[in-house]
Amino acid sequence: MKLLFLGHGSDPVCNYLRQAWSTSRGAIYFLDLDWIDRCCKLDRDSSRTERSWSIEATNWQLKLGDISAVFLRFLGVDRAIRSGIRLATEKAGLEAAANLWMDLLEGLECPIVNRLSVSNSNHSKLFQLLQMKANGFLVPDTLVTNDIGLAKAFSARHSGRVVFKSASGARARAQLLDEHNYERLHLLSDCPTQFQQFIPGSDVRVHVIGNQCFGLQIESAELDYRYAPRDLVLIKTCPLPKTIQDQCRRITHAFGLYLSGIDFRVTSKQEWYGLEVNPAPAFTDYQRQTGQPLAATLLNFLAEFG
Amino acid sequence: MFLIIGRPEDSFCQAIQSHLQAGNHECRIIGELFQVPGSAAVGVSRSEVLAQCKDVKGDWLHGNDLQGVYVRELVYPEASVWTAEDYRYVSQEITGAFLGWTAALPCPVLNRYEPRTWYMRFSSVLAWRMIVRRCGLEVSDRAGEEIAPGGHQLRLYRAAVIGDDLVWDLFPPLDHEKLVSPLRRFMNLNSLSLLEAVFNFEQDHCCLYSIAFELSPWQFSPHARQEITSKLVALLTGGSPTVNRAK
Repeated sequence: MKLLFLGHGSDPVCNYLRQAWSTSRGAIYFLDLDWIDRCCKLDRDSSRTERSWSIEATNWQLKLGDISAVFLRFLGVDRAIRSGIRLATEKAGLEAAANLWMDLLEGLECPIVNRLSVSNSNHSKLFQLLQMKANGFLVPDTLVTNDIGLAKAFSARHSGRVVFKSASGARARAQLLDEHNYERLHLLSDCPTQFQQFIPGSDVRVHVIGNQCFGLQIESAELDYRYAPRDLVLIKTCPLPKTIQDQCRRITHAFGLYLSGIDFRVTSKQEWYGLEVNPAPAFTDYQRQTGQPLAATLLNFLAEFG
Repeated sequence: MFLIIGRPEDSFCQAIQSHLQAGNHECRIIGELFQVPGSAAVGVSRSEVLAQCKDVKGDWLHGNDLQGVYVRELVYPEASVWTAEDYRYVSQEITGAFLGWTAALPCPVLNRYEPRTWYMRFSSVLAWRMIVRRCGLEVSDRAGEEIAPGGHQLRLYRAAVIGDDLVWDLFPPLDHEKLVSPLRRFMNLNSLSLLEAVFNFEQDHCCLYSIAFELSPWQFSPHARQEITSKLVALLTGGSPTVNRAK
């Protein structure tokens, strides 16, 4: 089993998985995306056959044809700059190298968890929502617009109980359209935003790994639990109805993903509203708090490709 | 009503608009989608999905009233009025909204990009090699190489694929008929209606050298450019089964 592992040395999820793989399964072929312009090179000159092209890193070499599977967790080249690992002046070189490697990986025949191309659905929450609706998910009433009048009408239709959030994959806090934010709607004309009917209930995250589903319920006083103090967020295992498991598997496969983190709001009447599909879920915190074997399941899944 | 998403000053947008109008079709070009002075929206409820946009006159155009949309270019706001961070955010939001908007339109859209194709439209053919091979095409050994002036001479052939039709620039390569089915398979797999492909003649057959989803008519001869324009209009208006309809 030759697993090519691409991730950021600065990413705790990546490091956790690398460590777990090395401990339980031995050698790992790791490329650090924070240093992808310097840590390796591709030798395609010594052979015209792609299977014989080889990746040469500091202490290993691997032919493309020998790769059993790839684990890819690419969080963008900005990550290395923002975290101070690399200088801003190095961004262009890092970006060019990352693009080359992403193109190379994309064209590989072996399984990739997850391919960058299919992970791109994350860049349009509206596209995701439409696909979820088409795949049988219940979704909240949603409006994506830069029109102030339409946004106000949408808010009125839902009695002012409206959440707004990013329409793309950009990380931004989901907030209630309260009085203060309502006054700021004049800013909307410059930037489209996603408005959604507020769904009272709990947040549920479903991780899909291959065909296995793991449910987690998240209780927090904050609307967007990602921004709440960690000690005020309660995470516990949540049983999943079979229909929800089926839907989650279906949408994951429809997007061409092997691994996903699907977010729901679930009402007291057990109405499951699908919100979005995350193609690169950071699950180590959830695993620590619930004991769910997410990493082990993922590593077993990757090993099956051997 | 037909809509072109692109710059009103773009001569290709103007040519498509003129062709449509000559056929008595109403057509508007919209530059600013999801940004001032324009507006756009997608509403999703239990019963319906509605995409709409405002044209330059301030009228709302509803998706159900549109007969077809040609996506020439998604125009972004002027970068200089934003900080770099805000500009990046705004651009991401406009793109995210746009991809959902075209997905929500019930009429034919050329091309109705999915996020996976939109974000790979500038990727080299290296990234597409697995799918390209599965479709029955060979990838050129020279793909992705930068050709230095005075370097190796390549025999390149450029084609615009418009639905089922191919328009070759100047003249096609010898075995061009063998390329038609694989190209169609590639377009179907990627939900594309328009494509531009460049082939390199190597070892007695054609290999794919580069691929693009946005047409570059200025790279074609005037005759081919005219043919591209009329075939694109025919595809948009003809309701051809190859046109990418809403799923």
